[in-house]
Amino acid sequence: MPPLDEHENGDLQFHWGKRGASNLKKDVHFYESFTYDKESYSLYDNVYLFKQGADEPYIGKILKIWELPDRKRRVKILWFFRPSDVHAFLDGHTPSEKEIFLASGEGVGLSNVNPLEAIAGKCCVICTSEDVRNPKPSSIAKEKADFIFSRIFDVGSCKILEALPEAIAGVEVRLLLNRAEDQISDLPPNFEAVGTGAFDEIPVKKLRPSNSLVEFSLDSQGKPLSGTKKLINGSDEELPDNEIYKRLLPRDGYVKQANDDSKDGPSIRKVKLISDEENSDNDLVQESKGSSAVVELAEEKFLSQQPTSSASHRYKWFADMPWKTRVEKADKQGKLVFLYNLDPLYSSSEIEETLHTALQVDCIVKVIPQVSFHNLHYGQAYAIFKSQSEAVRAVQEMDKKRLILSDGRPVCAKLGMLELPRNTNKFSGHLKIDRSRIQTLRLEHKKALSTSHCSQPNTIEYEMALDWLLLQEKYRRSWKRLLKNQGDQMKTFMSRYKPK
Amino acid sequence: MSNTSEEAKKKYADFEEKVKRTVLLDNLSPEVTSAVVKTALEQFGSVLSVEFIPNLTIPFDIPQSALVEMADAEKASKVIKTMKEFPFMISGMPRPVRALVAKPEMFADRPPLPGRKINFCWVDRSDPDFEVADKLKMLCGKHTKENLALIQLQLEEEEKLAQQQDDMIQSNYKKHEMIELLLQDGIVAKLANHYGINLSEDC
Repeated sequence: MPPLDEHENGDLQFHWGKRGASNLKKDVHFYESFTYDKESYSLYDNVYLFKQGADEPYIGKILKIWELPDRKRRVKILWFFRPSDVHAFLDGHTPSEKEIFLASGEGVGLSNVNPLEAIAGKCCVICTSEDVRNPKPSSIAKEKADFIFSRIFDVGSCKILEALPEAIAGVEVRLLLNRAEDQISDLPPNFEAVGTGAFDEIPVKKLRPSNSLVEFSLDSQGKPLSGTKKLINGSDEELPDNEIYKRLLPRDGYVKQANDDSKDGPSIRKVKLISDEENSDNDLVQESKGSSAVVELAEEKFLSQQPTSSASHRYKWFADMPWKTRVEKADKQGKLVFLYNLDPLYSSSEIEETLHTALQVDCIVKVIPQVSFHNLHYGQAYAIFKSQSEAVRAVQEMDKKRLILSDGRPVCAKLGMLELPRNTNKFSGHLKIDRSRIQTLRLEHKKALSTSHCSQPNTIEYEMALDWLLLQEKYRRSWKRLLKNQGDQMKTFMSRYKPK
Repeated sequence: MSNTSEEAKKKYADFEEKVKRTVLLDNLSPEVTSAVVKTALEQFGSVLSVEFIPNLTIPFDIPQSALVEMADAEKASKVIKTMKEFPFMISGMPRPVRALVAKPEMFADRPPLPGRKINFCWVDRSDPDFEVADKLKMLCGKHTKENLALIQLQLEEEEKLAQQQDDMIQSNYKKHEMIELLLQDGIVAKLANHYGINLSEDC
């Protein structure tokens, strides 16, 4: 398979659209639009970014598009948060169905620079804010949208706000809301009568899918375009064509399409579908309901390309998502299992493999690092299963019977995350003196806060540090003794197994 | 097949090298960031990476710990040696940070040990081993509780020590403040005059 970077005849076709404003660095080219994978994208479009292994793709807005001197393509994405992402901060707000929150403020999570290739497809997000700057969307558009938003989530203060600010991430907020085209009035009521004439020569098949992707399969003559082949080729070995059509089965979107048809004629309409991204927010034939299928396709596309290294960078940034966040998310979805009583030396992949053979399930395991406060006798790990039912089944299975590993330990498992302290950042042992009168000392403290130093024996600080060292040593010994006792107890119990 | 096992061996050897040049820092305040750690340890040699270990299992506010990868094993042992000799403070005092030799099990992403095969067997209620396994499970629970109790004790004692030191330092400051005040007010000079004592330093 040709690598991604090959333009035009590459597997995922790509070409740049309109050049954007030039900037100081002349090696970096900014653009206002591009076509990727037969789909046109332009600035401020809403897109899915697919994460490997997750069931929900990320949603974001394109803020900037550029190409680096080494031809790497980048997009700056302003994020949307799903209610589940900001679950802890909802604070009494109940999100409506399909509601998501636009990131705002300053801080981590507002926006990211991602490889352009991480984009998995377009997403229809409608702003329902009553703000005067926001063109009011039609009710149909609202209904057909994948998601709606009217509130913002401030990543700095972690609060949900109603009022839209002047600008988000340096972009005027006006540009981030609905576009003027969204104000197109609702559909005329007589749509059923329209279009039959125009449709006579078009294969019936064409009517079925509500999804513009499949629309590509037919050019104006009704011949399959090469584009479709490509879009679904990741899966066409595994799935017969009708399977794919089933997935993209009609919702009711085609009615609007038929309506367009009667106005523009079939051939123009095709062009419109492919090149028209201005309308995307309102376009009913967008990937609305079919979006999950799009993602699946994208995933298969990705999987089928895995051997080519150029494709793998596509989802690389997802790996940066901290494990803690993933664990918390999985916990909320009920897919998390805490495993303990493991050999502390086992690695994550070995545990994954063992669970795979023992329980016939796949999961992502990550062991808990054995540092200061962990019991060195007992390895622990979190496992994220694919679904809640699989997680429950695994735990039940291990409860009913005992899964004994080669070192004689029965694996213990329990659902969910362990209870952790609320993030209070409590830490004893660093003293602060807030006396403004003692200027010099205060300065010293300030320095100490930002730097580090070895303590010298002629200071009061050194004496106090020795107290701490004494305490550390005392507990180091306590730990050692406790662990030794525990180890002995464990050995005694192990010896009671019947001899093999 | 031999190829993959070779690869696994190589991977593990690389990992072992990484372990050797890594130091575990604990007793870190929650205010410490990777940039702070990096600056702090750069005086010993270049710092390749700093990885904080999130607490996902312990229900207490424990100090942060981080794995710091140095340029080579020699630099790592230098860090550990220096911190043993001198109390080393990062982002606050007087509680020093501690540096320990890193071990493979401190790395969440450690590769599997080549050549190790984990076997397993299912044991159901009828098997006499079931009972032994159950006992072991209970033992694990008991040990975990013991562990938590010790952590709690340690944290409490640390808090106590911090409180003691705080009291001490505050009273010390108060004393200094009082002396300064007396000097500034001229009360000391008046008293000296009264008792006929010469306070000027040149005598």
